[in-house]
Amino acid sequence: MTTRIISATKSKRRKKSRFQLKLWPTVRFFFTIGFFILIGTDIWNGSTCVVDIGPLQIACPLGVAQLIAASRKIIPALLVGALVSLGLIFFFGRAFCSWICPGRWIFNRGPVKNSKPWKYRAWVQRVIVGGVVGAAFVCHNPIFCTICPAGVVCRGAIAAGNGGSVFPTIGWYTMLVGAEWATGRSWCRDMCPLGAAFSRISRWNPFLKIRRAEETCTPCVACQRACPEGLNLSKDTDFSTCTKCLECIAACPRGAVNVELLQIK
Amino acid sequence: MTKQPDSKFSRREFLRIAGGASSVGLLYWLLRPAQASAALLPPGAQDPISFKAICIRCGKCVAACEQKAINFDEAGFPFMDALQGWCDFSGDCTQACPTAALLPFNPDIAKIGTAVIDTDRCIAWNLNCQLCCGLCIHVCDELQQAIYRDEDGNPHIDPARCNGCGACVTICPRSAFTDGNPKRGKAVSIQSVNSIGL
Repeated sequence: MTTRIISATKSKRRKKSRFQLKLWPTVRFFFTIGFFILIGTDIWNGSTCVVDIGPLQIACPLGVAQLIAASRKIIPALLVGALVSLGLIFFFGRAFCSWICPGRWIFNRGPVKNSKPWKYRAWVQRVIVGGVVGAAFVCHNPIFCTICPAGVVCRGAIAAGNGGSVFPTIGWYTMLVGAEWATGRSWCRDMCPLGAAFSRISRWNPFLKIRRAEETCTPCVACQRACPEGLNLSKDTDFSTCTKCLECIAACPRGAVNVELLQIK
Repeated sequence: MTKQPDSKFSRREFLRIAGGASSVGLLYWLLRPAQASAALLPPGAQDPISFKAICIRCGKCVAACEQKAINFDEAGFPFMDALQGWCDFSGDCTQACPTAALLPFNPDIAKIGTAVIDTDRCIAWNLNCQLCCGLCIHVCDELQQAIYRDEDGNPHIDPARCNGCGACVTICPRSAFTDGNPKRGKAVSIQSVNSIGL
């Protein structure tokens, strides 16, 4: 009897390997790598800050806002690029954070134990974005760009190709990971001004929404555990911080997660 | 039941002190007076303070430069790194710049800085002969003809002709490795000038 149980548990363990290759994280990883290959081979000219795709110029909206605040000048081409990226956020929500930003693969590795998002999250995000633009206004210098994880990686990659130093990239990422470890907070969820700005805009996004199937969903916390943003599909109503990483699809034991492409009422 | 021994610094206290110290440091760094750095800016840049206000550090100029003459400093701003390459005034960086940080310039009158020879380190100055070294003179003869020898064989720089392209620094055979020792390093350096021609 006992031997049978042991053998049964053993076979169970053997079936479930610890390192599974999941579909959507793999697709996202190759999407990120592909974006950087396109930039590195000069097929698309630029970096995550400003990228030229054919005749179209797409610019980081937070960077452009800081630039206008810092220099008190308006550059029309750059403003158009920022509006294009605002349109992309309107269509795809906060997808930049998990599909293009390289920091996603270093920070935010699953929710930290006993850690919750800020209490008044939307207001904290507004304060972070306002603080970044205000600091640029006060200092006459887009200072968040110095430490922006996406920009730091781009600069490190370009510098590595040009014989420059990659120390700023490694040093800043080490500092942020250390701060995450010490405070129990997640950079992408709680601190990142880019993510905060994008999720404030992504509130108006009517496309690409994650919804539960109400017939099959029995409210549990499986999606909340898998979600790096700490969202619960059965409890939460505001999904503006969703980064469309699609980790909840694999996490749901009942297969009750749907991706709805268009929602106009 | 094991109880954690009381230490002088609890985790909360440590975090509070570290957070206070780092926020004071951050405030100082943010509110310090703007300093004009000695680093050479790429051609077409305005004065350093307005350059730092309008550059978003996207790195396009660094990637666009075929001579690899531009590099990043610690804060991510581009500067002219003559150890890597020299500026051919092709204007690739100004074309790549998405903001107005680098404006189009006239390659005939544009000036990045002026080369200055360190006579303690220069090989020709130390040996006093007409034939030794002179690599900077050869490379400058094809560009600006700004370096000439005097009758002792010592190279001199004509500041009116020099446009600070940095070819002499790139080719100088002295090691770029300084190790904090003022006697080491390249014998030529580019020093920024106040008026930057457009």
